[in-house]
Amino acid sequence: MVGISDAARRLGLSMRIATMIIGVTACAWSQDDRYQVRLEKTGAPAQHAVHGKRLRTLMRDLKALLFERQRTQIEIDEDRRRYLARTVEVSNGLLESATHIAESADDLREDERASFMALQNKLVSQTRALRMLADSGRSQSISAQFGAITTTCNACHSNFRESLRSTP
Amino acid sequence: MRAAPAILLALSSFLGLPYMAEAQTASSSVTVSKAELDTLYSRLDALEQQAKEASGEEPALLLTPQAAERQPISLGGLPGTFEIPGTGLSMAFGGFIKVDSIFSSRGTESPGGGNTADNFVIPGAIPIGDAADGERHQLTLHARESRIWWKAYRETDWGDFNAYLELDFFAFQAPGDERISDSHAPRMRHAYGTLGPLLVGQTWTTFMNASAIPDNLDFVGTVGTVFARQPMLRWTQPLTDGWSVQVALEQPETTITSSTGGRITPGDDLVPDVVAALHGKGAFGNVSVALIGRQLRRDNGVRVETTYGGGVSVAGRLKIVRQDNLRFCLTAGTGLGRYLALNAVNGGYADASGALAGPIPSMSGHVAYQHHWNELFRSSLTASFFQAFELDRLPATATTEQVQSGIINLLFSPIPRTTFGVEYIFARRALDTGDEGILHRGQASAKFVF
Repeated sequence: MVGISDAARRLGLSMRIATMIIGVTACAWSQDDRYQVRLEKTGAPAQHAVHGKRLRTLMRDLKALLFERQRTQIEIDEDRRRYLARTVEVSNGLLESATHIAESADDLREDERASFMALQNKLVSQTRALRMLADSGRSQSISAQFGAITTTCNACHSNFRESLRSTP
Repeated sequence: MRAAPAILLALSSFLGLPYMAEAQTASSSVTVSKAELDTLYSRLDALEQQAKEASGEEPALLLTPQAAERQPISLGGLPGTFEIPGTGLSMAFGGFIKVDSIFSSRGTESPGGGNTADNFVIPGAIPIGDAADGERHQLTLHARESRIWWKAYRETDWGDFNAYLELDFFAFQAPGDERISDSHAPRMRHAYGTLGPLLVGQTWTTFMNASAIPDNLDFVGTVGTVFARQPMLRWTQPLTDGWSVQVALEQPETTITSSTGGRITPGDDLVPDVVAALHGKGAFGNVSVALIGRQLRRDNGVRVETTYGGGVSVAGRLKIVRQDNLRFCLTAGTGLGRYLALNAVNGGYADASGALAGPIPSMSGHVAYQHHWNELFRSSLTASFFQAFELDRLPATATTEQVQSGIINLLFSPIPRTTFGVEYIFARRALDTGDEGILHRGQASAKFVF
């Protein structure tokens, strides 16, 4: 062993300085997502939100495949097909739980019910489209479709979550 | 009516209607509005009517409902592929352009664009001692990591058929210097085919886990990983729940440190390297354990000299929080030579008489944590090492005994297919004589995936 402690000290100092610079630089940017719609936090997660969270994780996994450096495309394809199959499964779960959302409409006023049901129908149709995109291997389009679903979720949450909570 | 959206989707893609284009935009307009649906239905009715009038018969559906559900969009059997008519083969081309700008605290003391050690960190080529006059503070620009690949796929009764070819521009070459055109030649990285569980061809050694390599700008990105591509015959046997076992016979290549310290590559190998690996992948990420056994052999015309080596490697990529992940690799063995640290140390050594005396033990490893600051920015912090043992047995001196490196970067991807980044690299190499060399390197890169 030769001079390893000196090297370790130099390495440690260099890395600390570089870490500080990089951390400050990255954090200086806003959290604004240019190609992903965020789900706004408006309350405790419901069952359909759990499926939504799983879908979001899958969207991240699919996107991360574009950053792979060394694996071959055949290896990447195996993972892509696995994630897409999982997306179909979770979409089915979301569709099932989305149908139960309609039960909440009973607690709404008459004038609110129509727009609530329109959003529920939109969620169902958008999720079916997502499932179809995943089933047909359109991984490039899935993220945009999931963004549309998240937009619908946000619209419903911001309009009706408080109303449903305050309903006796 | 369940299949109607799929039929419309397929029909609209044929007709060039906006349904698909809108599906690719990140807005609520992804979903077809009722008015648009009505328009599409009207056009479908009109087309059906035209076909009916022309033939006098009821037209058949363009796709059966089942087929429409399964393959309404991609023409090939895999995402992003197209089918060659009449062959059943789904094919695709792709790759990336990567341009690197590298500032080194010291050059590697040889001229021109063919000096690969100035293009990326080669552990055994980190200069020892103080930088020579004229070798301090050098700038190198290149696009040699740019890559193109081609793949073909189809399903068969024997399992999936795949063929894959991948090239980059890091070929060993005399021309291609920096004076006029930087005309770097392409080289073969991967060329292999698979049929079900069988793989034949050149790709990453089964001893290596490619997904454990850090997301760094430096071409390899660590001095502590197993790193080799070579021809092989590999069988992959799936087990349960994401686990599989691989067994492979791979190209042997003996490297020996001569009694004077030079590298001998006798090319007299007879027995393939044997590798077995256990792989597991799931929601946690992936992990692998690999074993290798190999014969080192030299035939000097008078006698055949052999010695044996072997090792174990544990590697993987673990998901931590959100997109953050931890990549690691730890490898130890004897006679591993070219499998570790880009052949910083040879597999075997010769004694004072020049005869192959035995294998050289060595160990290497890295750990890299990748943090995603947000959807656009990510960083990796990597520490890695290589260590050779029992070098006092070698008659030669000035052999690489240890290498360490630390890398930190900041990568920015405004869209997933584009990455801009900056990286700082610290690397150190020490010899068994006690001499050492330090390399500081700053790298800025741009990458465009197509």
